[in-house]
Amino acid sequence: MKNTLRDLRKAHGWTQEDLAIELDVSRQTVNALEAGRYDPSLPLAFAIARLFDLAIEEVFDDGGSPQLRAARIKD
Amino acid sequence: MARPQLSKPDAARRRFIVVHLALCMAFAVAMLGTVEALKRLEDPAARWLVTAVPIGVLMAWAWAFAGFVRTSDEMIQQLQLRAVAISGAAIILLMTAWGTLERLMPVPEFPLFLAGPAFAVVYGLVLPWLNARP
Repeated sequence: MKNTLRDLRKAHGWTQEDLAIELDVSRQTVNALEAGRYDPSLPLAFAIARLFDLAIEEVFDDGGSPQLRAARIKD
Repeated sequence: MARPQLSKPDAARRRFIVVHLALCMAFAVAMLGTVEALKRLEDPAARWLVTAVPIGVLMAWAWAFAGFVRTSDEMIQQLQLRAVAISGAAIILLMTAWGTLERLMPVPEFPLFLAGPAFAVVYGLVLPWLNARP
C-alpha cells in the first residue's frame, strides 16, 4: 500500500528514529512502512494518522478506484 | 523527563543482542566444560547434573528469544514468527527425510544436537529474505 509517511516525517523534520519513538515501533518498522514493504495494522494506521492530525486516507492509499469511491459517496 | 534515544522495541532488540551473544558464549563454554567434566566424573547423578548445564543455557536462550518477540512491535513479531515457522518446518522436513533414509538406506546418522545450529543457519537466511520482500 502506498503512503505519504516519508514526506510527512520529513516535513516535520524528524528522523526515522524520532518517528519510531513517537509510534513506539522499531526504526526497521518505520523503514518498511515508508518503503511500502509493510502494511500496518488498523491500530497502527490510526496512530500514524492521529500523530500527523490527518485522516487515514490522507496517509495511506490502497489504490481503490476514484470512480468507485465517488459512486459510494453519491449513494 | 529526557526524550529516549531509542524506541522501546529498538531498545529491546539491543538488549536481546547482548543477551543472545552472552548465552551463545555460555553455551559453547558449557558444552566444552561438560565434555571435559564427563571425562573425570563417574557418579551418574553428577554426570546428569553436568550434562543439564548446556541444556539449561539452551532453555534460557529460548526464554530470552520469546521475551524479545513479545516486546517487539507488530511488524518485527510477524517477521520473527514467520521466520521461526519457515525455519522450523524446513528443519522438521529435512530431519524427517534424513531419518527415513537412516532407517532404510546406509547413510550416516545425523547428530541430533546439531538440529539447533541447523535451525539457526536456516533462520539466519530466511529472516533477511523475508525482510527484503516487497
